[in-house]
Amino acid sequence: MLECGNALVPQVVIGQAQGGFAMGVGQALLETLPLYEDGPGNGKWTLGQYVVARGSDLPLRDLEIEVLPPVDADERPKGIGEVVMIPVVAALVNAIFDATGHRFRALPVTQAMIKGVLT
Amino acid sequence: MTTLTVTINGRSYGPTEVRDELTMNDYLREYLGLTGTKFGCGAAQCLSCAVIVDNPDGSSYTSPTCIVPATSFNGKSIRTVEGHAKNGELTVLQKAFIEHFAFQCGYCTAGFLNEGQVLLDRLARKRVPRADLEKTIAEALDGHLCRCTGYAKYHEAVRDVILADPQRYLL
Repeated sequence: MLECGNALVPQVVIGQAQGGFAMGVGQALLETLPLYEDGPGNGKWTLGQYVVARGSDLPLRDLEIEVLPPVDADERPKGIGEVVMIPVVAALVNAIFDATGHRFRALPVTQAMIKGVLT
Repeated sequence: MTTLTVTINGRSYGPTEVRDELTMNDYLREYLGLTGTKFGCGAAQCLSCAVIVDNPDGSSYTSPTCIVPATSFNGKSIRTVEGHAKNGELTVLQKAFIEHFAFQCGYCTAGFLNEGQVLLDRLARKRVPRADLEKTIAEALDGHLCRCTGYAKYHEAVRDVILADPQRYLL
């Protein structure tokens, strides 16, 4: 659910929201850029190490996005896109806490990290 | 150096002497000016560079071009994003992409279009049950990365094209 001011092209707003959701999933669960010699700064990284969300990582059919009307009729467009990511990351990490009882303090929360606290 | 002859969008190119290490992506973009095929990750992991390869038997598949030598396409027939529309008339799938606002920056679009068209061609040759459609679309498009619209609209566009002509694509 989001309020972006006056949506000039509603379809683009939805597209940006869906894309922001995908990037939120990536930030919470997949994407990492560690420091030092083995990190992407070594110039050898590809999308094999920097893993971004694919279609199969996402609930494409179950993602419901509601765009609220502007709080003020004269309100200018406020921008969208990356804004959508912010609650997605918190929601996913809270859901992992609900499911595992463990509060992760660093991102991304990988499958290996979750398995580590379950054993 | 190797002699390269390749059919692109129905037109024959070559024979041309090319360096063995020349990628198909550079051949398309730099030699022929066909810049609709994009260069993305350079590691065949995002598939923005994918083109359609048409087999003699009428089947087709997509191939990345960024790390694939141009010479490996010698004698083959391929389609790029420039080859879909005929006489300025967009294909059904291209129109669906636009109607659905499937793309925004457009960088992944040529790859998705080629993959989606290969899927349509495949289903037209071998239809699938309606119940398998969602899985079929998801598996077909899955290797392609998009960072703008989060995939949903691409999937909806492909699904709409198939559902609009169920006798052609579905059992």
